[in-house]
Amino acid sequence: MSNLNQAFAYWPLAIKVALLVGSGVYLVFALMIFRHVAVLGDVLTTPKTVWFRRIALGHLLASILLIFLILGG
Amino acid sequence: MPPKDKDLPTLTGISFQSQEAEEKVVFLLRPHWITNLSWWLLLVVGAVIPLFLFKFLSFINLDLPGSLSINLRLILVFWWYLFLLAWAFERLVGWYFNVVIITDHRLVDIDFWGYTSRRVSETPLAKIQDATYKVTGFLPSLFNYGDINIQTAAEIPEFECRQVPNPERVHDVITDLMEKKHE
Repeated sequence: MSNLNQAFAYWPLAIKVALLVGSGVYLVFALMIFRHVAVLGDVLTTPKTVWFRRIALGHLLASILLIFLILGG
Repeated sequence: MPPKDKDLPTLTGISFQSQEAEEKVVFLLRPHWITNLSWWLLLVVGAVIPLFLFKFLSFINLDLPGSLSINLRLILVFWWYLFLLAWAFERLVGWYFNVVIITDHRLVDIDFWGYTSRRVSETPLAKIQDATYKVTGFLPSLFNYGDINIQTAAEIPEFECRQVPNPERVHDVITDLMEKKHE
């Protein structure tokens, strides 16, 4: 188990790089969701449609925040 | 007996892309909210996983959490919840926007799948030939939802409204509208 723990000593850097790359991909994904919800709101408009746009925007901002958190952490 | 216009239930505050000025939305059909139960439960399970994961790793003497800074741990948890939010949101959007709209002129089926594809099909009420509904199973009987199949003489021969609430009432209104248009 100690060898395993020594191996884990290199994990923080590896995880940080992986998270940063993953966050970049995730940001593109969040942009796609935001665009998709905007299109959906054009096709069908209900009183609740605006909430979907707000959630999609919140998700997009959170994914940008994630990148800053990783860079800062 | 076909309904008069004043008998029609009409929904306000709802519009769709190809709606005409005088066209009234009678029904907006989407699956019953209870059909989302399975992913709600998965969401709850997913939400509690981070609470137990690090304790479990410590319990089996795998010192992974100890080798990670508190910041990195927070980022991992943040990442997990963000992913969970996106997944739940995708399910919610899929449920909310895949609808069948019945107006006093036509029937419009709006389907979305993935993040890039959508299909909008429609048929005039005059071309509807037959409508049937079925309620089968424990949950559908308990919560009163079921499938409605609408046969048409249009290019798309069948429209299916799956797991819609109160199918009997919807079926009645569709039948009334259909008869009215056939007069």
